[in-house]
Amino acid sequence: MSLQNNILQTIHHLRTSGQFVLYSNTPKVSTSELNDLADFLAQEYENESLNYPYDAPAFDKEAAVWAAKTIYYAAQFLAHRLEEPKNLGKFFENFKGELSPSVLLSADLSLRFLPFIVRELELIDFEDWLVKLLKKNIQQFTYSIIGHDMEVEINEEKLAALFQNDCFRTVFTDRVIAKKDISLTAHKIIHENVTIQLGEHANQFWRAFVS
Amino acid sequence: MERDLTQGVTEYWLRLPSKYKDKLAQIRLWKSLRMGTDNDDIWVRGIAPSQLNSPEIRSIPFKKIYFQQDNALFLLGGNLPEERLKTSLLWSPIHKALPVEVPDYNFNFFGVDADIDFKIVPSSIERTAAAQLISLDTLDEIIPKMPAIRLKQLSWVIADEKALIIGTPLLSVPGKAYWQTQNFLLPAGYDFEHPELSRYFNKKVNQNSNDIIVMQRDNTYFKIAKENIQKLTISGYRLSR
Repeated sequence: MSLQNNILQTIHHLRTSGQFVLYSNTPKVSTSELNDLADFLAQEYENESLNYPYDAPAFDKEAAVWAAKTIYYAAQFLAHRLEEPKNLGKFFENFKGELSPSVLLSADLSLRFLPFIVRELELIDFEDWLVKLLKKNIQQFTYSIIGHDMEVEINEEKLAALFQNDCFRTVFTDRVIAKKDISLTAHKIIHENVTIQLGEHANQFWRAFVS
Repeated sequence: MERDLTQGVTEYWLRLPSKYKDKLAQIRLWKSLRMGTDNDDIWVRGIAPSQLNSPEIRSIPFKKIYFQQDNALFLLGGNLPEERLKTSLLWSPIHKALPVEVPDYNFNFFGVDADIDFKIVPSSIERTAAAQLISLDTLDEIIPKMPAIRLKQLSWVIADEKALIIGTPLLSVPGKAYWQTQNFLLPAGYDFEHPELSRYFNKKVNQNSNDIIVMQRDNTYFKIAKENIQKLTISGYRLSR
């Protein structure tokens, strides 16, 4: 790992210890930095997918890097905002690719930490432009915001298509159960899958859940 | 939904005329029981529903079994209260209330060399299974498909080409079930012939209590070091295979 690679160091630290360390106050990344980052994230994904049920979907480099960039910039603007940036689109772009289990799981490597940053930002200023922007951007990455009590619009048809993938369906439901996100079970398709996973032990594992 | 046959009854009471006191010998080692005396009767309380149908209880003659509801005692199977709740009795643990009397020394006894075989026998007391011995082929099929919540409270170890999975609720797959008492895993449906000796046996083969002793139906056993027992995860399973 080269010492100059700020984004890689930040994400590496985040993934290993769950803490955010920023090494510079200029939100800038270069292509070679991103390539190194992609290699690191691919390795992380491989380690993590070992614990995924069924066959894990392939790593999606684009989505993983996009997610890492998003959270890196978000943290940057949370910590230092020397001047209001003019061209926001340069930093926070919506994810352009097609959503698939592989995209959602790869992006989740970094995106799972984003709700914590959003909460910090909200504590500072509820009306901040960054809050709105981030919320809009991660809206479709439902998997990463399970259990964070953020408003989510769930498109049941889209989710049903994603649930065709056994691996994604199981990890998604696992996370709903682990975080005990009862509000998500209001959606029929999630409720159904949670019921299947808990089986007859529902009462023991999750008392609040009514099958 | 199956009807709950116990109807919330957690303990049964046993009443026995005092002159048949000796008949309680076989249950005096059940630590949960308490005993009190009321005129000509002996009362024993704390009999668990699982113990009620055991041969030990069933073979006590002249007994009456009661269960408690509100402030009255009902005869087992009866609909009308028989007795007021016994509140004024002095309850003491049954093994204290029935002390062992040593028989007179028998000068003609030559059996001092006799050994006691440490073995397990079928038992009719129902116990919750706490572990399962499952063939690895079966697990290969199902572990990668298991939801995380079912694996979280399980730990496992590979023993003799099979996986011993410890924890509840167990996975619903075919396998041999075991129940746990102290450091022993006994096949479901079996108990020690002399449960009171299990502690000595444990001391003998498992000095520091570092191992789990798995008893087999043929009275053999094998030991598993507790430190070898690992959390069951999909990645751990994949890496072990």
